[in-house]
Amino acid sequence: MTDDKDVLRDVWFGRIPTCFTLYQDEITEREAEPYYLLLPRISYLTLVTDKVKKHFQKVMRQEEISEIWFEYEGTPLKWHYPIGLLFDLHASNTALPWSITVHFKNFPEKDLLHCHSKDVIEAHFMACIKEADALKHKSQVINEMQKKDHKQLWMGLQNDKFEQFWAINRKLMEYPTEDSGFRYIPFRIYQATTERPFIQKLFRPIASGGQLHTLGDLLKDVCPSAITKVTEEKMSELNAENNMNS
Amino acid sequence: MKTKKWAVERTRTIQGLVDFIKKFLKLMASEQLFIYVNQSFAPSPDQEVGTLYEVTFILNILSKYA
Repeated sequence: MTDDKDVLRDVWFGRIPTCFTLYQDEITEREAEPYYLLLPRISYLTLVTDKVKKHFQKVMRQEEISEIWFEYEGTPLKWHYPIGLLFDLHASNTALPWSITVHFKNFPEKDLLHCHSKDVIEAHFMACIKEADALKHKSQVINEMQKKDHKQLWMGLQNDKFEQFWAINRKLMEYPTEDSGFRYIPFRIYQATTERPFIQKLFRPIASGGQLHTLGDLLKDVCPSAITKVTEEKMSELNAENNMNS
Repeated sequence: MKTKKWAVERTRTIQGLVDFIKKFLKLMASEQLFIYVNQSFAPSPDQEVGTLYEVTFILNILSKYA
């Protein structure tokens, strides 16, 4: 894991430049200026937008304000999905900064979970960690940790403290030397084009013959349509090149 | 709850389960119902039951309500 520290840091410190604009139908006492912010890919919208909320609430009357929610081109953004995932799913092919619209009324009950406090985000985050460890270690590692270790994971994420987070997370990323990997790989595949929220299946890190599975093996197994499209595109690229050169 | 085993469609969400159990147990909307999987984690309300089943083999739902 220490060899990968550069990669771990790059993942942790990934940012998306974002422009927040107040929805035009919100009632304000003065003009609301847009608010610019670099959003951490690994965090959650409702965890990192206190400043955004304060900025817009300054120009609104108290009675016009209820729970904040975010939308991109008409699609309510699920705060319980990591920010990087939301961006990749909805806006990866568009120019930066990412333009998000801020709402304080008409909360879309059917599309979004409520987020009344930071405790809700913490509970969701810890549930994800626990579900992942159920797959990796039959929950043994997470259950053997003390409450203060769980708290440290959360505080590390909340306060953007890489070292604090990984001091605990590295234990969740280890496996006994006699095994060659986790019991199952915790993964979810999100696609913008499908009905189902995501693909999540049991997948072992080692094949029956003993060789390590690759990402390609995983995709072929649980999402073969993703592979086929890439192969087709590559084929037409190669064909086009050949036609130009002949 | 007398019946401990229920057949549920794969695409039903956890929130759907919560709503059903609350109605069945005649709980008030304000009362809280918590669902845990194999006593180890609480799934997100929008997760589908089918997905949880595939990764946990046995979906053992322990519900506690205040």
